[in-house]
Amino acid sequence: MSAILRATGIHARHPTSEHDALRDLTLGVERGEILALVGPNGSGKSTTLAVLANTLRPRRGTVHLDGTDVRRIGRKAFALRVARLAQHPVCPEGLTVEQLAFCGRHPHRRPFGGPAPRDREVVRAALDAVDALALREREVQTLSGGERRRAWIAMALSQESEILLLDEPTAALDLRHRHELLALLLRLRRSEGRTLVVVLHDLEDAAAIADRVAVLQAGRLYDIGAPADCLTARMLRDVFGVVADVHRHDGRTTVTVHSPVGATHSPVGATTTSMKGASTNAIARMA
Amino acid sequence: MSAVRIADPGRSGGGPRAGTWLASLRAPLVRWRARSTLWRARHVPDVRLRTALVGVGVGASVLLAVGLGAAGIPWRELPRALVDAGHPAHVILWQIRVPRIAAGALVGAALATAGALLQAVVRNPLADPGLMGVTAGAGLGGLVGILLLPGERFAIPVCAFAGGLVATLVVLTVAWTGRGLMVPLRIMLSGVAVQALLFSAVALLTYAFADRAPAFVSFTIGSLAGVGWMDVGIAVGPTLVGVGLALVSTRRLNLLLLDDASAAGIGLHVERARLGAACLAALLAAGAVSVAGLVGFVGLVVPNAVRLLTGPDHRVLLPVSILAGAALVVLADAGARTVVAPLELPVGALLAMIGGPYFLVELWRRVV
Repeated sequence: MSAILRATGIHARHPTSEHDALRDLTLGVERGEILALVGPNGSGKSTTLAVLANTLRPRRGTVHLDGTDVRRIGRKAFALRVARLAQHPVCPEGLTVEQLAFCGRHPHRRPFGGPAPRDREVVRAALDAVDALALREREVQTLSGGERRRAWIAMALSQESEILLLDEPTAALDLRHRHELLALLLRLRRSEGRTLVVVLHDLEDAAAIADRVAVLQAGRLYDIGAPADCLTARMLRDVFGVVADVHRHDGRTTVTVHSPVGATHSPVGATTTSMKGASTNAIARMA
Repeated sequence: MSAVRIADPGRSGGGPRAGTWLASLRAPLVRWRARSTLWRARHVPDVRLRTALVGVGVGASVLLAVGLGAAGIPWRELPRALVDAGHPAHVILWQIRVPRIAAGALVGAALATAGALLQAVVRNPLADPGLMGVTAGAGLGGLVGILLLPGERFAIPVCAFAGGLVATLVVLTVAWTGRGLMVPLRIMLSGVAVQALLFSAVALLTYAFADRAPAFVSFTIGSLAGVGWMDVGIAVGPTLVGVGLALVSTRRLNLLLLDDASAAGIGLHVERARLGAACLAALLAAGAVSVAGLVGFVGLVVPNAVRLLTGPDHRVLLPVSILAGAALVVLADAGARTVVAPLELPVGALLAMIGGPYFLVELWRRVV
């Protein structure tokens, strides 16, 4: 197998929880792909990411990075290869966006001494990539949700790791920045050959950028494969519990939700889950 | 840390609506708060200048402390008295005042460092060395020393040091092993429980051996009275080791302020860093308490006050706190020696009298 990051037979739960969030999950991430993790709330997406990021120790099962058990890789050595954007990161009072981005350089820096010119360069590029250069002197805590999100993404980018694990990177982002972020993710894969695992709630976004989609349901892998094979009306009914149509045209995917399963009529009428159609092409152009 | 935010004066009027009598009462206070230089100082970028100012403050307070005292040596005579072994005040200076100043500086530096470390460990600005059970453990150890080895000069500091470390060990063992992870809340809760337990033992001992109360009292309040070179010798080792190690791990301390998942994600072994910092704090606090008794508030107030000036970055916060802590204790002790000379006030009580009001004012100025 050419999987660069592989989880085998994972049983995992939150430290304070009595229930396994993941039950016998096996998942391989291929080198240089974008793998989208989708699934309803509580299906184990974030837990999967935490296990892959080696920050949550599974109760059973193993995670291998390039064939090496991650438990045998030091924290710093692991951070050089894998960066993770947490779902709800917390930033201390008074820390600026730029200082936060510099935190991402930690694994690259020697124990003592200030940042090297290379560190400054990378941080600057990372801030530029998420359009946060103008925010760099601002305190993270005073920013809006979307601006904060971008600051954290800049920190993950500063790590310069070949694998990026991103938990809902588009959460709270406005239309333009979401678009730019998705384009950035495509660029990271195409021109820099990085591997990305991205938790996404928007199935159309997932279809637009992912090479493969992993659908999680109640802590198990329901299906994994190309977006066209995974994102089906049947899956939406089984996993998400909605009656919906999936349209594909010119490489764009549109999901139209009619009603929850079992409902006799839709309370909101037919809705599409996000900005329709144009997304895929526009993102492809930007990338 | 993240729970506490400095008020934004533009938005702080969120309480009563304008027009109510309460609002008119509050308006001048809010305006004053907005103008307060302490609040704005945090946003002045020149941190070096402020560090230098604190350094000057330490020097000045040491000079002041050398000059002040019950013996009343004229300022003009001081330089000669310090260098001339034949001068009548020479012995007073070198055997009483200088060791006391040295001990005060060490105690202040150690407690301030311990406070800053623990505030990072539990990610909460209200942490202080008492939290880890260090203070209570050292208190009990010191009392046991007084009881078991009466008259032995070295008994109190050595027993206090051991007691502080043992108490911390208990706190960390509960927080570290157990079923859960070593999260800040666990450390705080087990610290509070151990502290309550130990202080009740201290109270029982004090009650049972009321005849030896004077020695007990001065130890539990905290005082530098009668401190000599031997005490300096006891405090200097743990303090220098602790302060030195803390100073070289400032970047790790910064990363501890992030949430656990993010800190681990960028390569920090969170629990190991937390355990290391907590042990360092225990070492420092035990060293300080063994010499000066249960001096409170330095570990709590100094890092918080300095944070207002420097922001949360430990690379600046820690060195400035060390200097400020040393200066504060040296100055407070000089005050304790002179205010009601030739009697002495316990420096611990004096510091709490400064620290308490400071904290109330700080609380009033903040939005949670």
